[in-house]
Formats: sequence, structure tokens, C-alpha cells
Amino acid sequence: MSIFAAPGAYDRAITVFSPDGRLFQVEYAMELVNRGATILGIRCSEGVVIGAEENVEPLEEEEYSWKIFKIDEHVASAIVGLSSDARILIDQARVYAQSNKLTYDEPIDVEVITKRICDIKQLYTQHAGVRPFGVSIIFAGVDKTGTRVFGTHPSGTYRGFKATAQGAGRETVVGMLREEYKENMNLEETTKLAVKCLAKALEARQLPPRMKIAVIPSETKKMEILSNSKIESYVKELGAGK
Amino acid sequence: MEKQGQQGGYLWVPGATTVGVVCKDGVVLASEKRVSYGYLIVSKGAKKVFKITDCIGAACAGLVSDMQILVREVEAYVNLFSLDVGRPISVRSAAKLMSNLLFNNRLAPLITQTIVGGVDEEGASIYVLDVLGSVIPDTYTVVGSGTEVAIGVVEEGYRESMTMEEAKDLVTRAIKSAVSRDIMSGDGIDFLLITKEGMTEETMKF
Repeated sequence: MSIFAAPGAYDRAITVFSPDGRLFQVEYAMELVNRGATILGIRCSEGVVIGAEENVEPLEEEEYSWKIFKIDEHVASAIVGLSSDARILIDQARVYAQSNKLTYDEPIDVEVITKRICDIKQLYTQHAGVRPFGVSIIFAGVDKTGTRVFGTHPSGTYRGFKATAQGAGRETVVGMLREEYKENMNLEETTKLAVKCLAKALEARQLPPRMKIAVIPSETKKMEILSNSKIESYVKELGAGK
Repeated sequence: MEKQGQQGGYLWVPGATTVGVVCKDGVVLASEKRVSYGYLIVSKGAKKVFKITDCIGAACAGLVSDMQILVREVEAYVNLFSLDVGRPISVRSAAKLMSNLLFNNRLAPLITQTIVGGVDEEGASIYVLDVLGSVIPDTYTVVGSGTEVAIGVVEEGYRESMTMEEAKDLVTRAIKSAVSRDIMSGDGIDFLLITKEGMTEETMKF
């Protein structure tokens, strides 16, 4: 038997390591996430911006979002992967946010929400008879510690970022963010950068610049979803600047 | 008819004079050191002022067992909080945690009145908690059997711009006044002086 087992032998149950120390089911979940529509989160001193590629069908309600969710007034999230799996985690995150208010009488830290959700994700990589959550979530928000952005994976790991992206366009977007992210950007500039990155990621796959953006300014600590017309005006501005 | 806290004419809740004051430099928490059941002084050296974190403390009146259990439990939760969240807990959250413990025990209440005080990012603050866990923010407050006497002294002398030393003097005067008229208070004072640099414990014996 080869030391490097072929996938297929060790991917029936997620709780079983392959001989070369891999959990194939978890890796497949990552693969699913890597094929989803791009999401991103960027922070600056004036607030956080969260964005997602999201094509609204002609007959769909315009203000409805499958990609960006409010967790609490001060925390937003963007999801990539299975929407149905994400809903469960989003609902749970909302419960944690409210529960924190009851226990500590203050809004929950973004990192705490992230950690709680990743605790759940981790459970589903270890218990028998379950499959991992096929979803990555970016949490962004403004709390006592400042503006925060966290990226999570189906495996249950999470990291803090200044700017991050996940999904099909992540390489394009992360490449752009590395070039263009500046510490001293204001919220307007950060929002424009988010639009630019998503438009570029869509363009790379010959798709029209359709997206959803939400911002949380440090000043108000309240999440706002940008109107479609506002986003369109940013996209137009981008086209003019080329 | 028997008074509340009495059984067969025997008073089973010890008295106390416990004061909390917010001043310019931080917070002063103080309490006298007597524990009595009925006509007997059980202890002349009890401690009714507790440290919770490096910059949060609690001062209690009521059953000594209950205050010890309550403060230890809050201390455990507060330590878990700072490990989990990665920053020190705020005074408000510590008070709220204690309030939850008290409220969850409302059917068999912990017989304690507590002042939670300390200094955090938002500055110095104190909160008063009753037996069932109400959380009331304040700038100065007194709990225990000596309240009626002590509160008059604190109210008369209190200024927000007080230094730690002035606040400590005021609290000492207030507790000494209560001790001279309240039979269940006496034997010395424990202080917890909290500034943003940290906390110091002091004891004064009569």
C-alpha cells in the first residue's frame, strides 16, 4: 500500500485520518467554498466594509441578500458556500450576540462571535455521522477593541485580518488588496476599494459587476447595507477612472 | 410579630456598614469588620471587602457565607471571561454577571447587598446590587444596617473632584459615625483603594 492514500479510501467518514494525515471531507468542504461567489471584508480606522458578489435575478426582490447578513447592530457577516448551512450558523451567531448582552450587558466582541461559530464548525469535523459545514464566513464589525475582520473556514480555524477574501475570486482580490490596501484609508476609500476588488474578480470570470456591500462606521457602530444605486455609481466611477 | 431576619427573637443576619465612593482618582470600597448573631459578636476580624480582578472589587453586607460564595463564583466567571475574550472585563459586565447569579437564585436568594466597583477603560464606577440582583450605577452608596447613619455623612461631604485620600477620609468618617450608633457594626475598617494603576488593600483597627 502506498504511503499516500488516494482520496476515496479515507473520505467516507470525516473522523478518519488518511495515512498521510488528512481529513478529506474537510478538504472537500474547503473546495466547495473555494468555488463559491467571492466575499471580502476590509477594515480601516473609520469602520469596516464587507462585500459579496451577488447577482440579483430580474424577478428577485432587489433588497434581499443571500450573502450578507446582520448578526447584531455592530457585526456583519458575509458567507460563501452552502447558503442552507450558513443560515444555521448565522442564526446561532445572532443568538450568541443577544445572549452576550444578557450576560455581560455589553455588545459582543467580533472575535467572540467568530470563536463561538468556529467551535460549532470544529465539532462537525470530529463527530461521527455528520458532515462539515460547507461554508466560510467573514465576520466584520466594530467593538470595544476597535474595527475587526475575521475569516473562518469549514475546518473551524479563524484568523484576524486587515483585509481578506474568500471564494472563487479570492486570489484576484487578495492580490489586489495586498497592492492597494493602506492603513490610513477612510471609509469611503475602503468602500470603493471593496467595489473595485469585487468588480475585478467578476470581470476575470466574464461576469457583470453585480454585488452587495455593507458598511459599519466606527462612529455609529451600526450596519448599513449600501443601496444598489449607490454601488452602481461606484462601479461607474471605477469605469471612468480606467 | 417577628421582624424580618429574626427567628425566635434571634437575629440571624449580621449587620454591616459598607461604603462605596467614586472619586477623581478611582474608587474607594470599605466595610467595617464585625460579624454578629443576635447579642454575640462572632468575629471582630471578618473581611467583607473582596478583590475580583486587579482593578475591580466588591464590598458586601449580609450573610458572610453568601457573600463569599457569590464573590468567588463571580471571580471564576470573570477569569474565564478574560481568558476567553482576551481583555479584562468591564466593571459593568462584572456587576451584571453577579446580578445574573443573584437573579438565578431568586427562589432561594443569597442574602447579600453588594457594591461592585472598579476602574476600566471608561473610568471609575460603582454599581449597587440588591438581594435579587438589580444593578444600579451610582457615584456613592452605602449598604448594611449602618446605612442610615453613614449615608448622611457621605452625602454631606461628597464631591466628584475628591482625591483618593479625601474620599478615604470621608468613608472613614462615615463608617466611624455608623459604628458609634449601630450595634452591629464595629471593630475596624477594611479598605480597597482602586486606581487605574491597580489596587491596594488597607486595614484600620479600632
